[in-house]
Amino acid sequence: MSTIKLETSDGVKFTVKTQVAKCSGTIRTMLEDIGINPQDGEAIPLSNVHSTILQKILVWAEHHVDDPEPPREDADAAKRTDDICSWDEDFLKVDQRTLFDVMLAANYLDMKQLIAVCCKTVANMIKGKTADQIRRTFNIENDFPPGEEDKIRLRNQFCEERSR
Amino acid sequence: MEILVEIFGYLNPGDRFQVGLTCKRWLEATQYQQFVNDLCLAFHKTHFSDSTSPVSGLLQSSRNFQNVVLSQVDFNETERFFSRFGENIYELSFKACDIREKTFTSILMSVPNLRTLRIEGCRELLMSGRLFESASDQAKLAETLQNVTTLSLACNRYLSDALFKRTVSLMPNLESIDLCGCHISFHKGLYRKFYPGRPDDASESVLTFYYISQFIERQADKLKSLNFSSTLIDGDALELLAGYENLQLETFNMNSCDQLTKPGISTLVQKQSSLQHLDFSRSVRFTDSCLVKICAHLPELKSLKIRRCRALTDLGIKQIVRLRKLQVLDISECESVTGQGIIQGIASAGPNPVLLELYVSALNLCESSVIKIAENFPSLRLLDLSYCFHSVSDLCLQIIFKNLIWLRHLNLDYCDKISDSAMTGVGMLQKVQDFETSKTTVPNTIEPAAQQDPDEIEPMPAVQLPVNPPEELYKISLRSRAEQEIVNDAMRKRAMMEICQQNEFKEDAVTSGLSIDRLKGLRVLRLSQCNKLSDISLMYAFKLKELRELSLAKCQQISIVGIKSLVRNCPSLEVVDLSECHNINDKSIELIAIHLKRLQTLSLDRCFQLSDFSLDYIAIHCKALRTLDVRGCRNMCAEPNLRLVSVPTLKTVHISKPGPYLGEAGYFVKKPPPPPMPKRI
Repeated sequence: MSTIKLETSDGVKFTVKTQVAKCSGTIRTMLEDIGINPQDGEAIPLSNVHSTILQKILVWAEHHVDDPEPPREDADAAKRTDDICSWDEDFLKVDQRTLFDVMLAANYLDMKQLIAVCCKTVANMIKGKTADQIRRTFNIENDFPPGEEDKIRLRNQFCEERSR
Repeated sequence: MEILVEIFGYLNPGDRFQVGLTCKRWLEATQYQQFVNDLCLAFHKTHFSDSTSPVSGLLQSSRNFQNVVLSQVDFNETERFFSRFGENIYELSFKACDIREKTFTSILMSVPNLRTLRIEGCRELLMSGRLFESASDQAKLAETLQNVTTLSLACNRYLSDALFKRTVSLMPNLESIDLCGCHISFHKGLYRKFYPGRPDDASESVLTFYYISQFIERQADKLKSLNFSSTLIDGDALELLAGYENLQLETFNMNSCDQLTKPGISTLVQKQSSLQHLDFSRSVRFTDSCLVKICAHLPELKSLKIRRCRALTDLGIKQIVRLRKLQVLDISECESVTGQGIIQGIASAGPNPVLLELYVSALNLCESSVIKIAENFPSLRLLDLSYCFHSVSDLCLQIIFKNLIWLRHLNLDYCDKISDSAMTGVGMLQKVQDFETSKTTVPNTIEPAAQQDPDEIEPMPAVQLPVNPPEELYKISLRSRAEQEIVNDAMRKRAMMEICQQNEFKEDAVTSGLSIDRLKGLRVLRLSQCNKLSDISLMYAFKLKELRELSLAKCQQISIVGIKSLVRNCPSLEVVDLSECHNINDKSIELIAIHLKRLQTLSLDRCFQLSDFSLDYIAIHCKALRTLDVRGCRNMCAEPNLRLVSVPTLKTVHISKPGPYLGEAGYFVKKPPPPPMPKRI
């Protein structure tokens, strides 16, 4: 089983099975298209990812390495958020900081499945809440000038879901 | 930002609006093009003027709109709005609008990217017959409208050949044309009368099929979709259309067309083999042999709507199984169709993940056929089982909850056998297991051929139950039976309540089956007249975060206890129907008004306990309400509107008038009549 080395932004080096590392589209491209040779023993630099986050992501990749390629979904197909498997659910029971860091790193590493599962988790945190509740959940600062919120709300009144 | 957009992609529009209210950055993400596309700007019963609200407000905002729907709107200044937004508008609909020709023309001149134009029920606009008459206007419009591919002229009484000609000549790229409900003359004699000598000049006074058909022939290589619903289109017309060489239709709607003939339909489906969407609903002459022809010649069909074609029987319905690409099927209200048609036909070919929407409202189904549906169509997004009175049992629902987890829309109106056990799953595990085992063991004990016979697999002898009408039985011993029912019911409720409370502490699902909260993505749930349902269901089962529309009309056991849980567990509700829920009181309405922030439509028809206090709660708390129905609330004042002036969005209040309620005048009354009671064999 071949392995490659990855180096994170804080200088930590990881030795990873090639197969696991290839869960990341970014690394896969580096290896296959650009032709970085992992046998050289040189670590691939991942300058946007911190070691704690990479560690976490590798755990996920290890678990999902044998997943079949998901069926390609139509762009306008209804998306569901309740199909997160219980392993992932437990995996993502982390504080919001970590969750968002994982998401950003997954985005950088181009790991579609991980991004999807993170997005679904966040979407589930949003569903059914009012704007106020959402702000409290994610510690968002309300940066609208006074009165603006009401105006937006009024405009929303005239936007409807489009019936097809 | 791209991650935000990705996240928001998993939300419903209702949630997205809330997200957009949190901060500037998130607002920006919600205005991403793809989301804008899912929405339409809808004005209903307002005055459209650049200088007054709501248009003036929109002019200050940064958003843009692709789809604009204007219904029952009258117009004043439109110039600024359309010069600002016109370029982005792809779809524009005028429904029953009072608009002058000049205003209309100038609007159309400012929408150069328009793809879809709908002019429906606009009497004033077409009455004079002068629209698009000026040559200079025509030249300009031919430029802005050249990309229009979809045109609807539905429900226009005053459409004439001349108007039709001028309109379509501006749109050389038309692919879809809708003439639903137009007064088209199909009779050739009439054509001769109005075009005695000079057939080139389009008539100002009649709309003839002959003229339209000439246009269709000319446009044949582009046209994909036709809608002749609610017209007198006949077999000859169909045969004529079918014969056009270059015509390759994909969609043809002939809803409520009584003059169709069998030869016409069969010629059409044989020659137009590219058809993918067909609607023959309410067309009385549609028969089994037409359906057989469709199933034989149109294997590519994706949607088939044959609601209320009363001549249909199981014989034809069974053929539908041959349409393997079908995504939408509506066979509601076909009185002669029974469960056998489903079991041996539609659902007989094993699991079918293609079908997305199934309407089997008001059919004479049996329990096993409903189960069969639940087992064989795992991808269903929409299931309409309304008015299937005695066929939808608690067991059916359990199987639905188990298998159809993609459901977005579930209609169980008038399925009055459903009880709290089905909704919560309490006590259902045994039944479901019994059913599962009987399914696996039966084929072993009886020879394999027995699988064909549903009665053998049927665990309960519920099929064809009403051999003699049970009503008579009730009438004879009404009193004692009714009393007993009440006592039993109370005991049952108490027991259920206890179990549910226990379950809540123990969190163990060992004894219970499945609850409706498995259908996490459910957005519409209709349970009108499901009289056995009580607060227990609302308290312990309805944890549906995405639920948008709920009808509990005539569920008379519902009270404030259930409402309290409901408003907490289903925060996304926008449409709520509690009509004839006699136990609903002012306090319940207060809870609804305070907690359901997104409420847009509330029906409280004949909730006798409600008083003016309810109106006040609504006036204070409901900031998004658009429609309120308080007909028959006899404890309210005579003028509810006056108490509700503080709700700026409220456009429609239904109130009792002396005498019978007649409905709004005009275009919008065209609601389908309630389905007939299916004949009980």
